[in-house]
Order: sequence, then C-alpha cells, then structure tokens
Amino acid sequence: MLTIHGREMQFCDGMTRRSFLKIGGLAMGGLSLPEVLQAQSASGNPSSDKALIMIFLSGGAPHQDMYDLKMDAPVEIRGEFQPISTSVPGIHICEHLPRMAGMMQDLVPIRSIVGSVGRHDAFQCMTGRNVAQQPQGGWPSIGATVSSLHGNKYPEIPAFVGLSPKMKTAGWGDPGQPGFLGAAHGAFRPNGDAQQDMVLKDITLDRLSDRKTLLTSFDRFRREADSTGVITGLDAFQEQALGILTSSRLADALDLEQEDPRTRARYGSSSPEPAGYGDAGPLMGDYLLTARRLIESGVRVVTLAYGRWDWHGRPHGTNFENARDHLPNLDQAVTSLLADLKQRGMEKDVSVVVWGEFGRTPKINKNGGRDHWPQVSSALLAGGGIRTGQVIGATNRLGEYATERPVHFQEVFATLYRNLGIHTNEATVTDLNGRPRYLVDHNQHKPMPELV
Amino acid sequence: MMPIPSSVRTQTNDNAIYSVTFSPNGQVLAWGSLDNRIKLWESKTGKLIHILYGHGDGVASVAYSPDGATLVSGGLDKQIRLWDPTTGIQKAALSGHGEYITAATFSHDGSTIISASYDSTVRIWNANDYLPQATLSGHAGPVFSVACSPTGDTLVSGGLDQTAIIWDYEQRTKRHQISGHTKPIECVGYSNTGQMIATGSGDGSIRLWDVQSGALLQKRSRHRTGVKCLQFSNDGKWLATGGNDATVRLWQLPALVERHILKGHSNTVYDVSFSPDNQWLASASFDRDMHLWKIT
Repeated sequence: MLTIHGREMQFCDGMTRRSFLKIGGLAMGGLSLPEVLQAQSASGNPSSDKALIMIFLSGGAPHQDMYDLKMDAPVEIRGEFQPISTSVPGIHICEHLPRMAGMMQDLVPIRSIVGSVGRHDAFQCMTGRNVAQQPQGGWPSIGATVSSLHGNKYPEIPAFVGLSPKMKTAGWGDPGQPGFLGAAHGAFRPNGDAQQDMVLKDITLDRLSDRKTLLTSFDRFRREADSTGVITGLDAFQEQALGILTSSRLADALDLEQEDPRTRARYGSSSPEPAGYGDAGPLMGDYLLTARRLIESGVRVVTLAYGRWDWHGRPHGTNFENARDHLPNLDQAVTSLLADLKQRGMEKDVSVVVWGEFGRTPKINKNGGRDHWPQVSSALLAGGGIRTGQVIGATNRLGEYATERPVHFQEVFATLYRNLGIHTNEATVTDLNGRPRYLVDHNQHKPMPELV
Repeated sequence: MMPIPSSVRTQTNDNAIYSVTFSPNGQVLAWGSLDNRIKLWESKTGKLIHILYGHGDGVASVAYSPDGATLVSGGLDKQIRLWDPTTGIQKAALSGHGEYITAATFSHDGSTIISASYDSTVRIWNANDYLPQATLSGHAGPVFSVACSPTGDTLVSGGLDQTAIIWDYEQRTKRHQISGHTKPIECVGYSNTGQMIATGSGDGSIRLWDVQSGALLQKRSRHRTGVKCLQFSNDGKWLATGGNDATVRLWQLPALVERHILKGHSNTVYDVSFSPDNQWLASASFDRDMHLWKIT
C-alpha cells in the first residue's frame, strides 16, 4: 500500500486522503506500487510493441473434435461432427468452427502438441514447464518473464494482466505465476484480487465506477497535496505510483462502455456466468475484447481462461452437446479478436495462442464423453508475424498420438518468446540463488522453423 | 388438423436447460438448469417470478404436484427438493439416492414423490412427511426417466440398460421388463388413459407399449441421433418428442404419425411439456433456450 503521511484532508465526497491512497496493494501480488515500480525499473527494452494474448481452454479441449477430425476412425471414436473445408485448400476443421475455417489463411492449427504432464491446471500452458522439480520460488510464467525482461511499456500500465476470475478450481483460474521472479512480476488481476483492492473505506465499487467523480477527486487531491508540499520528497517510485493511480489509461482500457457497441457485439457472449457446470471460466467474448484494449494501452501479456472443456459426459452433457455449445462461441470470439487486431494493424505484433492442458480420449466413454488424454492435444496460433495458413503435425488414424512433427509445449513457448523479441537461446532470468535460467530447455526446444 | 406450430417466444438462460414444465393451471412455466437454479416464469408474459436457489449441482428435473402447491426438483447433487412455488421458499430436501438424480415427479394423486437416479434405483417418498417409502431395484445401471400412471396403478422407468420396467405401484414389484431398444432408454411417459406407455431411446426410436401386457404396439425412428424426451398431450391426441438432432417432433395418435418437425434449437432438446389446455408446447434445450410453441 502507498501511504502518504501528513494532515488528513477531506474530499468533497467525504473520502479521506489516506484511505484514498490505499490502493494497489493486492492487485500486484501484495507489494505496494512503489515497490513494484522499483523492481520493474531494472527491466530493459520498454519500447517493444510486441505482445501476447493467451486463451486458455480450461479442462482440456477435445483435439479430435476441433482441428483434427478422425473421419477414418470407427464411429465410437470419430464422433458426431463433420469436417468442413477452409480457406486454405487441403485443410479441414470441425463444422462448428466455420469462421475459423473462413480465415484459415491467418491461422496455424497444431495437431500434435506433446509433452503434457496431464495435470488439470494452467501451469504448463503458462510456463511451458512441468510443475514437478521446480527451482526455488517456482518457474515464472511467460507473462512474468516478459514483465521482467521488458518491463512496463508505460509507467502506469502493468506489463502483465490476467483476466480470469478466481475459480474454485484454482489451477484453471491461474493467470500465470511470477515464480522466482517475485510478486513484482505477477499478473494484475482486475477480475480477481484487484476487485477487493478497489473497495476503499467508505467507497464502494459502484462509486469508483463513477469515473468522472473519481478523476475529479484525483485532480483535487493532487492540487491540494501539491499545495501543501506533501508530494515534495516522495521518491520517484512513489510519484510514479501516484501517476498510476491518477492516470485513466488502465481504467479506460478496462472500460468496455467506451468500445463501439457494434464491435463489442461481434465478440459474442458477454455473460459472466461460468460456462458448463460447476467451476469454470465464462464463455466471455468481452474478455478477448478487453485483452485487445489492454494490449493497445501497453500491456504486454494478457492471459484469460475461456470456457470449461473437461467433458466427461452425462449427466453434465455429452462431449458433443458441450462442443456444440462452446465451439461456436470460441469461433466467434477468436475470429473477432483476430479480425480486430488486423483491422488495427496489430496482427504482426500481437501473438495469439489458444490451447488447453491436454487432449481427450479417442474412444467416447459410455456417458458420451471423452476423458483426459495427455498423449496429444492441439493448439491454435495466430499473429506475431508467424507464417500462417498451414497445419503443423498430424496424429494417427484414431487421434491417439502424434505421427508427424510432434510439437512440445516448449517449442510453442520458444516461438512465442521469439515473436516477443526474446531469443530463448540467449535470454535468461535470474533465480533466487542468483543462477541464470533459460526460458525454455533451449538446447532441446527452439522456435518452430515452420513458423518463423 | 393442427396448424403448423410456430415459436411464439424464446427465453434464453445462462446455461443448459434440463427440464421444463407447466404448472397445473398453465399460468407458470418452471425450468431447471445446469447452473443449479430453478426459474419460474409467467407463461403468458415470460415475466420472471422466482429464482430458486439451493441445489449444489445441475437441476435435472422439475415437476408440479397435481394441486400445484408444491414443486419438486431432482438434482445432480443427489438431492430432491420441494418448494412452495408461490413464495419460492424451499419446504424440504430429501437425501437418500447415492448418485445423480435424473428424474423426480409426483404420483397421480400427489401422495408420493417418485425419483430415479444413477444409483440404478427408483424411489418412492411420502409427499406429506417426506419419509422414504420404497426402493425399487431392477435396472442394471442408471435410471434416466420415471413416470407415474394417471390411473395410479403402475410406474414406468427406463435407463442405461436399454430396458423399461413397468412396476406395480401398490405392490412395489416388477410387472414387466421390456426389451427391444438397442441403446439406453432416455425417456418414458404415459398416455392420458394410462393404458399405453412410450419409450424414447438413444437408438433414435420411439416405441409404444401396452401397459397390461408389455407388448410392443408401434415403433418409429425419425430423430437422427437419439430421442431425449417425450410427453403425451393430456387429450390423448399427440405425442411430442425432442431429440439429439435439436428437433421437436409432434406425432399424431393413435397411429403415431409424424405431423410436424419444430426447428429452432441448436442443441439436444432435453425436455418438452404440453400446457394443460394443449394449446402450447414448451421445449428446453442444452442450447440454453426455451421455446414456447403455439400448437393450436
């Protein structure tokens, strides 16, 4: 928390100066903003425009019902869906992804993701690493790593934002942890801890949403604080913290009311309800739109969980009922994001990855579902300047294992880092023991030559 | 001849709708859904009356008592709950099933509650003191559907084992175990006279059976990928079915001739319900929509 001592000053709405400035503690992982800024000041390359949006399909999406339909398999494996042709001759995907089919020239489905550790959480998708045998403090996520290596693009904009709400299945709501890089590089979570942050003494979130009043209050505070000389003597980081608190840039990015409603409508569902049953991320097109706005404001990495893909079957709906529910929403939201990025000239700078923690069993179970299958899964890449309009990899007739071009999670990470201007054969981050750590197992996993 | 039905109103839920039913006076529509909630709506206007909270998992089944004073719900949380639909207040929660509950309904006279479950049993509960009365075991697997005869002498259940069992309601014994379907039986129902039952199955067929003899009367296969739900109109003229193919079909009785295919859903139709005056049909789907169709 940032606290400014001195005589108490009363605002026109009854808010005291001290309570006013107790903002920003939790959102940055418990550090005060000045501490965050101090840590981030040691980072380099703030001028990079490269960014990443990671869409995590919590629960493990069925690879054989999305980009890799198995029409030569028996019906108990093949399932209910039909393939459709796409804008790239020779590439076929599921009939329930027609918009992706229409823009396949801008996409790269990877049909052969391997190396999943089979855990029901976002850790491997956020770090590329196995949760076992971690260094002290833990492996940092890609968001934390980019925050560490590139720092903030603008002082008042966090480098790393996680949009997922908190979930009971905490692993699915994990935005990516800072690991040994420390809390200063943790994700800012406007839908998680930051919500508590925003409740000041006597000030509710509703009142905070009255931005005009709030900004007026900020301005008055600054004028009054300046006039009393309180600001004098603050160190640079405290002044920057004040800048974050009084800047509207981040608030504007998060405020979808400022977006053209027609654009917002194109992204599809805006329901914050958990998707599917039980604990899940929502099927919320608004999250993807918010991600775009955050990138435009200067955020470097945005992660979000979309939907609940852990479809074991009835009575919570068969795999195919859930797929008919989720796939059109995903199709609409992702293609709207990509079209939006392109329209704004951002597509070469912004990488987008859509994936989950593992694939699903080839054989449909007796409840009409598919169970966990870490042996192979799929991913979708776009943007970031990669060579698109191609499929990478293949699986066998039954979708059980990769037969061509197995792609390890860390190869995807090496590619994403490269897109972000970070070369994984050179870049390191320092762990808690002072040891430099490469971002991936760089001797084994390199950026995918088919894409870069 | 019924004019071509049209969808008069569509109401969208935040999650898949599993069960829908009209109140006995036709004034209220109740639905249970995968978001653990029950919603009650004015059937004429679509105005929300109550949201009932309490189940810890999806609500698989909702049904009114014959006098309309009580709503029973069966949940995937293994609980049966009883509600006052006027106030929205829960009256009771019944535990006993060991697995997901798939169906819960009242007997013809409202004196008992009948439930079906993944624990392979059908159970009968006293509707006044809520005490369990009987457990009917006979299915070799989850029971997906149960119905009580309008004459009160039998029950019918159907399930994963591809059989339907006609039970003697008073004796709580098995009268007939009906085979013939080649995939699980998803839904069962009685005709208005109680002399005939219908079964719908994942094999895509609807079959009519004589209650007394257990003999097959009719068989039709039209739903492409499975029948999920069915209900007879209370005038004995129609059977409505809903399928995995996202269609609702209206069959004319007694010949079981398909007369209308109602298209509008985009996912499996989980439940259908005629209004008491047979002028309306409500259909509920995994696509999160309820459609209200005008059928006369």
